[in-house]
Amino acid sequence: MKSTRRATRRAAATVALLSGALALAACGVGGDPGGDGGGSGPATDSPIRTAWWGVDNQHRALEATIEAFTAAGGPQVSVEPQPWDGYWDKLATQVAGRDLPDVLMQAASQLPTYAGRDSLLDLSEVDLDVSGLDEGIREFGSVGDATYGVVAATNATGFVTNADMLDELGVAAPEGEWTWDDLASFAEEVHSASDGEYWGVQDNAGDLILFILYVRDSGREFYAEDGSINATPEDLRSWFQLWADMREAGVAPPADITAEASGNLPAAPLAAGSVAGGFFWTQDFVALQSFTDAELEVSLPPHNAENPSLWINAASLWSISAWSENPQGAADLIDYFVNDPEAIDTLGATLGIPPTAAARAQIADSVTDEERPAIEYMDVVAENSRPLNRLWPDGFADSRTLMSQLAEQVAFGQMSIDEAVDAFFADAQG
Amino acid sequence: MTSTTTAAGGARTSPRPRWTARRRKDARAGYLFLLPWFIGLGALVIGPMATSAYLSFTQYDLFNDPVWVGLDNYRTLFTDDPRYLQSLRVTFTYVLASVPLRLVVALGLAVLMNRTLRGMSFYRAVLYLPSLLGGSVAIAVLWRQLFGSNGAVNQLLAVIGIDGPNWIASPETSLATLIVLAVWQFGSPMVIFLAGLRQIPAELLEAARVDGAGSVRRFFSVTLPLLTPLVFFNLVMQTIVAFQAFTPSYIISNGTGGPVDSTLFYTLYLYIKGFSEFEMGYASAMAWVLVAIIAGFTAINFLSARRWVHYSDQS
Repeated sequence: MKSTRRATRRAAATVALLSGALALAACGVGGDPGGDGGGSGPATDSPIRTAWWGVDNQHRALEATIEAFTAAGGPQVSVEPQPWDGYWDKLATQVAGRDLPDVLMQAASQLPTYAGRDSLLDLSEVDLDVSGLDEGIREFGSVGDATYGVVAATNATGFVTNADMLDELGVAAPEGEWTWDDLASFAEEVHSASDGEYWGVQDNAGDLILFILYVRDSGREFYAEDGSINATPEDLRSWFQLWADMREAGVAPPADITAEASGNLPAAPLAAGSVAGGFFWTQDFVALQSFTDAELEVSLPPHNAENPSLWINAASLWSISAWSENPQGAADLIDYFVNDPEAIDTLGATLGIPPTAAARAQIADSVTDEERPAIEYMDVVAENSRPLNRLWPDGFADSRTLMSQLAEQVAFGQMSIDEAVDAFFADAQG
Repeated sequence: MTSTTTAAGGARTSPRPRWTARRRKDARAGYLFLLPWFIGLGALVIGPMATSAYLSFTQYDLFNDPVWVGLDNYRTLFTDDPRYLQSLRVTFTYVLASVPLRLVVALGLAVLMNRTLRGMSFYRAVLYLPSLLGGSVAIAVLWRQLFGSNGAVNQLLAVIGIDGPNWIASPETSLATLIVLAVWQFGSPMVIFLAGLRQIPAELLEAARVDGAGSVRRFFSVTLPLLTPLVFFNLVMQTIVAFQAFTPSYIISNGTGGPVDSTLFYTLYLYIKGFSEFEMGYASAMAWVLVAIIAGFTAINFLSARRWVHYSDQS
């Protein structure tokens, strides 16, 4: 059976490679010595290792940045770039062997686990300047009282609309405060203005992130401090019902169209021009714009000013190994990613949107036309967001998968909404 | 069977050969040459298999040390995991549909290819092509394009006025598209059948012809019986391969086994459990159940073979 598993991992690697090849190529600018890379403290010049996951253009940008870091007086850095598949099993085995890379990319859903195993360094022990970071993101990598991760790039969910289509139909995109019921009205308006030719919004019933926004809209948090789910079965029932009504009315696409586009951005109805709006992460907005000639716009999802439901999310989160022999050198590298003007130029928006206003202003002129609206959007998000009360607990990834499975079963008519709600909460408690 | 047993029994009664120094040295050299293979077998096959067998009785997330849970994983598989049962359903459907279809297509094409025609070797090469490409990622991606809601298949159907379903994204049809993909990769059994067809003695076919047998009768009464050893070989091999199918579903469903788990292959679910949900002990248990299932199917094939496989040198 081992050979099967090796084959599966090989297949996974191939897929990751392929999707990497599809991603937009970005230029890696070679390093030119200058800037303050080296830090103070003992043994900051002993070599460090760093690992991350990503796709080709991210690998190139990070490697160029790291070379410049060393050229600017930082320690030697050996790099371990990887695709997403396989990253976490390798990291887990490295924890078991106490052999973590000094600097490693983390994810919001994994960081609490790693911190809980005492494998990450409390960043207050090193000298690392995060004062320029947006306020909503400075504490993002915290577990309890300690901070274990620094955000080097951000993203957020937004409501993406096809501006050309809306112009043609004479329908206005939602502006200012709006509710989830307004979303249904918007979809209905698009549908009737186009005589049923277009759907109003993509079906996002299975997106746990959006459901979390839906719950936070009322001022509550989705997860309680202890990591249990705060949302109620009634919340989920009305959420599923909202989308079921839209499918029923024909203003959201039927299940098979949604299933076909799942995990396949180029097939998204929004890119195909058959729907007027949908919810996407900022990096997906950039990719979507490259798939369609129509002009896309990104704006805030349904929200109210009293309880901003959106949060600035980490697109790129970096931690330091608790067993690092050169913690200050490792901290200098993360500092360099976030604060060094040359690194900011090299990285651009390849990892996500820079987390400091200074960096966003610096790259505003050099980014592509697809990236610019996303960067401007993050400025809006910075003013209309509320940080998460805690990082994702252990069961988050499972809940996320389960949610999309259940929503799909409901959409295909294989499960009733009540059954789906029961199944979701039964699993969350089990 | 009986004759071999007697032969072995006879050998045992003869006096054991005395080991001379020379023979011992030869034997040592022999083992020495085998050593690299033994090391490989131990380190890469037996070791990992033993580890996986041990892990299948534990709860192991790669992160914390394995915790011994006895038969819990196996018990959960069959009593408390509807997705596992769904993956069994999907896999059995896939194997039972795709293997016979693929063999029929391979045999049919082999018969067509078994003649002397100008450019025949070119056609053979072309027909083998899908098998070279078939398991690859690119073909799975191509399949998405062919059977998408606006894919080539539906555009063809539209020409004759049929509004085709969304093949890949509808739970009713998604598995069928994967079965078609599997059938399409008929190349290697076809080549084996072709070789077998060439071995069939011309005088037998000639004699049947003289007796007045038509081409259909000749095929079913002469060719097919003589080909049964190869049918058997292909059946065993293809069944094993089909149980281990992974790539098509992984690519076409984006690693989810969707829509609504309709293409959740056994190995895909195993991968999800092991590498997405980090339940490595559970995934190991799944792997060993799969070994048992494949062994069971192979045993059934071998037992049934006595009834329908004819070896010409035994008649």
